[in-house]
Amino acid sequence: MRRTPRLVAALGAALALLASGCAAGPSEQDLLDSVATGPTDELGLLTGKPYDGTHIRLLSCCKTTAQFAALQEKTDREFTAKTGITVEWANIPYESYLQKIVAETAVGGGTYDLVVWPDAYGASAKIGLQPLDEVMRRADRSIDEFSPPFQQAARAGDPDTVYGIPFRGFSYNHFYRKSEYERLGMTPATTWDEFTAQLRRLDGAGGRAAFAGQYGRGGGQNLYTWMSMLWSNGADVLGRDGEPAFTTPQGVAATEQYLALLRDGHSPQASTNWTETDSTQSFEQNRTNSVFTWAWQMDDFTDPAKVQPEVAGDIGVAPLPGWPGKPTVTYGFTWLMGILNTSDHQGAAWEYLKWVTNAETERDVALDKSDPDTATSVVVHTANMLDPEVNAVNHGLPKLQESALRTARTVPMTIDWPQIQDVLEVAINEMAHGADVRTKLDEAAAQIRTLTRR
Amino acid sequence: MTDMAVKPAPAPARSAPAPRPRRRPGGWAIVRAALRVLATLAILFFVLFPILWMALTAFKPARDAFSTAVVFAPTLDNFAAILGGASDLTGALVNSVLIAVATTIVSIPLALLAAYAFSRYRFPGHRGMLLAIVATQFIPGVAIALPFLTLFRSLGLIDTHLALVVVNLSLVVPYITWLLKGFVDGLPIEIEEAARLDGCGQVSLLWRVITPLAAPGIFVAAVFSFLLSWNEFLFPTFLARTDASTLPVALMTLVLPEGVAWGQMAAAGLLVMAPMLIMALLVRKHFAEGMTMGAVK
Amino acid sequence: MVATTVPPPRPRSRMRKHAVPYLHLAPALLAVVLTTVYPLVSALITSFRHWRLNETREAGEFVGLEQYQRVFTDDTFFNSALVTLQFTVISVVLSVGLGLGIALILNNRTRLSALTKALLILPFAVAPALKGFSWRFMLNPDTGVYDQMLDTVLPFADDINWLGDPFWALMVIALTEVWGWAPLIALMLLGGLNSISPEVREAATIDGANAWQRFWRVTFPLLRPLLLIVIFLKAVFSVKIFDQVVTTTGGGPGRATESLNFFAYSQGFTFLDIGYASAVSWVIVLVLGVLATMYLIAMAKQEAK
Repeated sequence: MRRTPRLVAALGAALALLASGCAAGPSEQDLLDSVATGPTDELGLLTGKPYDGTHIRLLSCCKTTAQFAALQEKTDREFTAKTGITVEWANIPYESYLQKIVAETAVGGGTYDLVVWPDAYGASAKIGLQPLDEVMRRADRSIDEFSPPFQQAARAGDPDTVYGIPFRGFSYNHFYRKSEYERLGMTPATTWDEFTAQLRRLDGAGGRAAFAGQYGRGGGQNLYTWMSMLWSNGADVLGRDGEPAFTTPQGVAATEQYLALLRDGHSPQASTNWTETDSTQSFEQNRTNSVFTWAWQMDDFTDPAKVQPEVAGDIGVAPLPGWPGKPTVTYGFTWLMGILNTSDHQGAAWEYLKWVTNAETERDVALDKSDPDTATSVVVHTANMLDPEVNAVNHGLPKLQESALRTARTVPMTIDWPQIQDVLEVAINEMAHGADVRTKLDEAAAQIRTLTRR
Repeated sequence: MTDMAVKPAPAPARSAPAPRPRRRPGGWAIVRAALRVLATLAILFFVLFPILWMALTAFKPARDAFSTAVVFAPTLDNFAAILGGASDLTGALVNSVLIAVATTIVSIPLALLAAYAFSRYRFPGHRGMLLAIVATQFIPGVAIALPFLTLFRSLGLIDTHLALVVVNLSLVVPYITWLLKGFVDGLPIEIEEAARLDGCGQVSLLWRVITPLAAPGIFVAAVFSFLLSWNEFLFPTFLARTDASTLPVALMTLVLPEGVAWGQMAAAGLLVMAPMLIMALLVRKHFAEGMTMGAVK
Repeated sequence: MVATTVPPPRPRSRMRKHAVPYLHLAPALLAVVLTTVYPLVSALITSFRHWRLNETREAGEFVGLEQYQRVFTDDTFFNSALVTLQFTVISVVLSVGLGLGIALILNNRTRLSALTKALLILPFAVAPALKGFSWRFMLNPDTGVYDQMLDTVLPFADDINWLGDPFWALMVIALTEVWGWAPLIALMLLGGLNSISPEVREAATIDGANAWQRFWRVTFPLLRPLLLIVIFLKAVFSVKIFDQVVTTTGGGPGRATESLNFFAYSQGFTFLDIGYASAVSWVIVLVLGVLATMYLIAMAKQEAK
């Protein structure tokens, strides 16, 4: 037994040694110190290759997404040729992506220079991100190049600071089978009552279900339609005071209407557990007549290689319905790109960020239809959305998006959003499984109050 | 717990042997034999079907991945996609191998030394430490991963092979220490005594005598260590991103925004599974013993 | 335990006598202490501090037992405790029951049984994360091969959306576990069955006992100690269930498959509330600690015999 104390002492010493190493983490840099100044070219890039030979890494997901693939390809061909900076897009699994980006920004690792994140995680991610206002001002760039929801997402809840530049985003739209609507002599509904009446006629039309809803739990995807309905009816997820605001009569009514699409049998029973992919696949596989989803899906819906042949040539798109006398407010989804505090190559990272979010770069990509794997209709600059040439080759979708985005919103920008989203998506899923709407909403509101009062 | 003396194991009356074993040819015996065969086939189906189905799906062309067809034109497309193709997983494969091998190489000597001490010496704290080592296996992974997340962040070790090897030790060392202790217990002590009389020092005794004698046990321990690290999911989920991501976690890359690429998933699954299946068959005899960890001794 | 103790080569003082085994143990103990004791202590300290990673980079103020209080008033925590309990009961009963069945069926010397026994180990060697994916694939309500087989045999199964139904989703995760564990348990039990001397069984046969009586009067009592160990082991692994929850259901539908480990993981990794997650993990450590103590006591008793 007498040996034991010495053993403990040795272990203690080892632990102390380990603890003393704790100060040596990746250090934080300041973007302004590492950004070089000098003459720039037409894309705003510094001439004379000041960062020649630098390798930067971008934390991203889904490298096969057409827009990402297009940008990566263009990066090598154009950006690297001009600047000498090589860029590596890391491909993180989509399923665990949200956690990884938050971990990279909050926990930090020092491996990456740039990060791409979806709007909902901005408030949590900003602790690890560099403010961009000053460098944007110097480069003559402005967040006003983008629609209101994109701007809100870029500020991540901080009224005066921009943390990321939008580089992928879309409005939420109503897609439908054109021929079926024509056969029934209908035009897309503008109010929910009208929409529901149309669904009754679409039930079983062409052997398809009327509507592909998404009520399953997964990444907050069952909240997209719900939030849009909530906002359009004058309710909100969180009020100005940060308190839950969805239990008002308007909130309950909107939720009831949302669930009625499923409960009245317009959306297939299985959609109780569908997420975004399941519902769009059902539409692509010619099993449903209509679906609500992101505008970019148009690229897939019209691609005969990706959908049933009879679907590809038969797609209509419209704004979401609303309530009479109230403005329709939908969710505008934003992907942003920002510079990590722990990056050792912030100057080069800023060069890339400027280039990749440049309206010209974006326009080139949206116009290039030479390869189906990189063809995309996604543009986020208001100027490009209104550009006739861009609209001509993209089904006129950008213009439609621009008008929807004018009144659109982003999700609440609070660091509690991941938890709030979790509570809400579970509540929606449980309502879809039959739980009472009123009770569930109250329960969710109570849970949210508890977790925001910490 | 169980006091065997209380449980009345039937005391057979040995004095009156039956004239001859009952023999009832035909009828029942045949039915029972047939039932037994059927039941055994059902077990085989239960055990093998998911593995075979995955293997089959791995060779299916993309458009057949969702069909239950058994006849199709086999293709290597899925393997091409995950090995250098669109959903390249070779990086994760290399990481998995490196991390599992490194974990094994580090933990075997540690565990062998400890196992030898536990087996051959009595010392204060012997029992306590032995039990404490078992007790570590009850710690939930999250409780280990969380502090390491913040520690490794401070040390700049997030997403490195080293980080994963270190946390894997928490799984592997206790486990194979027990396993090896069992093996060393079974080694005849006379050889060691003879070696000592020959003037063999402690170091060369361990290296020249114990290690070769325990080689079969070390092999089993190595396989276990490799298997535990290879299949580990929670630690790399927490502590790796891309550079050190291992295969089981990288399977998630095949859950694409447009749905799960099941054909590629199956091919990757085969990659994850096949080495483990072979190893499991190699150490089959010791597998069950290992799990009960000396508890039956 | 083992009665073979090597006398040290030369007689030494008591003090120095134990230096040799401690020296042997030191590296392994250091590794174990660093990789298990250190994180546990660190998590214990963190569990008393406010620390959300998306708010501050370093640990915040000490808040006493606040986070433990929160654990015990958190409905979602109790939900995950209940889910874990249900899951543990289901998977232990099914794994051990099926394992015992398999062992009894294969407890003979035919060539087919020998082959089956050799293959029993395979499912356990498959990575749990992959088990989750493969069962999710096979039970897809539209295209899954198991789903189609079941629909043919049991017409009512046609309506079941395996992963969409709260009950069945938990069952599916349990099944992925049972698939790996039942054959392994069978192997362990076959080891036990082999050690039952044929004479005892024969004697019972001669006694006129039928198969059922033989099982309950001879086999079962002899297997009992082994069964207890197996049940215990399976229970511990079930309480720790995590991988398949992530790869099969992600906790859904609703919160029907959120296990304790998954809950702790969400708090820490998804929500970045390291302080709360540490308190949750310590509650889990304590729960498992009670199980572990029971196990150790049982082992000690068995050893004493």
